[in-house]
Amino acid sequence: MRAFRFPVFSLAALLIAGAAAGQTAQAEQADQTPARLVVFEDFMRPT
Amino acid sequence: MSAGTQVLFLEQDVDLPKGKRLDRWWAAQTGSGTVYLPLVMVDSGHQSSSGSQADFKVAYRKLVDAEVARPPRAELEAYTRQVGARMRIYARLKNTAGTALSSAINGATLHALVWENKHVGVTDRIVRAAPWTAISQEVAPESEYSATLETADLAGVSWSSLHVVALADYRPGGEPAYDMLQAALARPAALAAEPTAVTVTIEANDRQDRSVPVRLLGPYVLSWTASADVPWILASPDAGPISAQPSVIVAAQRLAPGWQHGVVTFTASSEDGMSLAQTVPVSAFSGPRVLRIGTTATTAGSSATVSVSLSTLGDENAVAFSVAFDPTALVNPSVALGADAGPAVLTSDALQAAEGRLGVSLALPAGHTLEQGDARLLVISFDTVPDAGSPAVAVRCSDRPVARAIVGADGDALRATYLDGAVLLTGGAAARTPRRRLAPGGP
Repeated sequence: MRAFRFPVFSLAALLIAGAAAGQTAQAEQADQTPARLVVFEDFMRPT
Repeated sequence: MSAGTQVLFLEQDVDLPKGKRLDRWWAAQTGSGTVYLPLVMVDSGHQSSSGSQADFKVAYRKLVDAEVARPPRAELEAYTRQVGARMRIYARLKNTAGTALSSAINGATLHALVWENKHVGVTDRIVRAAPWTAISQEVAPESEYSATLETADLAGVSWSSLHVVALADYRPGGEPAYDMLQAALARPAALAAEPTAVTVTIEANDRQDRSVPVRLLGPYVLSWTASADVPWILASPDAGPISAQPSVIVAAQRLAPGWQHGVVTFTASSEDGMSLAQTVPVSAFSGPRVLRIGTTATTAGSSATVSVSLSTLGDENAVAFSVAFDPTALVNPSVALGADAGPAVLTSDALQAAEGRLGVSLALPAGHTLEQGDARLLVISFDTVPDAGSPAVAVRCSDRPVARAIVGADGDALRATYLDGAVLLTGGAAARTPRRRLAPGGP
């Protein structure tokens, strides 16, 4: 695996990311077209 | 957005990545050099980002919205169950990508992300395991692939807080970056049937069995058998793999008059120890469907009102027929809806009334049916001719100008018996004009 470096990661940014990670959004059932289940993955380091 | 569009947000500890998921993020990177946390990807790296953003919300919404707009490229279903300290996942994929899938051709892989709803890192969700398997056999377009995934022993987790999403990805067009075909939340392993209950009505003179398809749903490893608790219910086939879908058959000639109830039990098992069952209640009604023109008595020269009723089985959507009568005895026919016609729309054709023919049709809105029982559908009124001659004037069911037909909610023609009626004339108005006796004095 390649190396990566970690910058100062603001608390505000983490909170926003956390808010996004804490929810599952569901759209209205507009039609019967099969829908994609979108998967958002966030690789983080606990602060 | 399409029906049921969902977005699932999951966190992984970048220092303890599970499965092949972080590899997917790296595969999506084209440049070299330093990257910064957080590493974010959507749909196996079809969208990705890293490092601080001016506005995280805006940046991540853009990634998500780009994926929401795309149709899936596979159908995927997944079931899961706890086996000891492990989570086992059963996944079935149908390839709708329009191209063959395999690990050798395009890196096709099936993953399961097992997450716990718990604040461990930064968010309230943390991925605990991500078992995967390379799709080693070639899966042609529109064909299916199924596999069982299993985690290692999961220690220190709350099992009731664990959830699983299965997903399949591949590298389209030989690109290094992966794209997700589709994902599916795994349901607890169970056997389900659709519809959950079956109700049929069969006209008493109809000897044809009814067949109702039933869809069995469950982990792909299941095999099932069916049994019924009454002799008038059969399942065909009565056993098979979960991919074989049965029909419940109601044997018309074995029904007793009226309502009867039974149950079909589907029992399913797998070689890895699952034993599941699902019952489907079946109700059947057998009875005559009879359209009956009533008989009424009236004084010749006055009006006559004849009711038309239908003994219904509860599946009738539309009724049409004609009435034939002696036009020298009955004139000026008119038709009105009866008390049980509900929201039906009535159409009558009286163009041939002078020849003794009247057409009638009555239609409920699409999908509606008459209630099971005796329905008062119509009222037909005539003027009677004073000197008609015959004391009984037949009012018969016929097929001109409108052919007899009763139609079900599914558009099928339904069998029925049609019974004629009559107008009984009890005496001519002219011949029996009441004589007024004159008497002195007032009343």
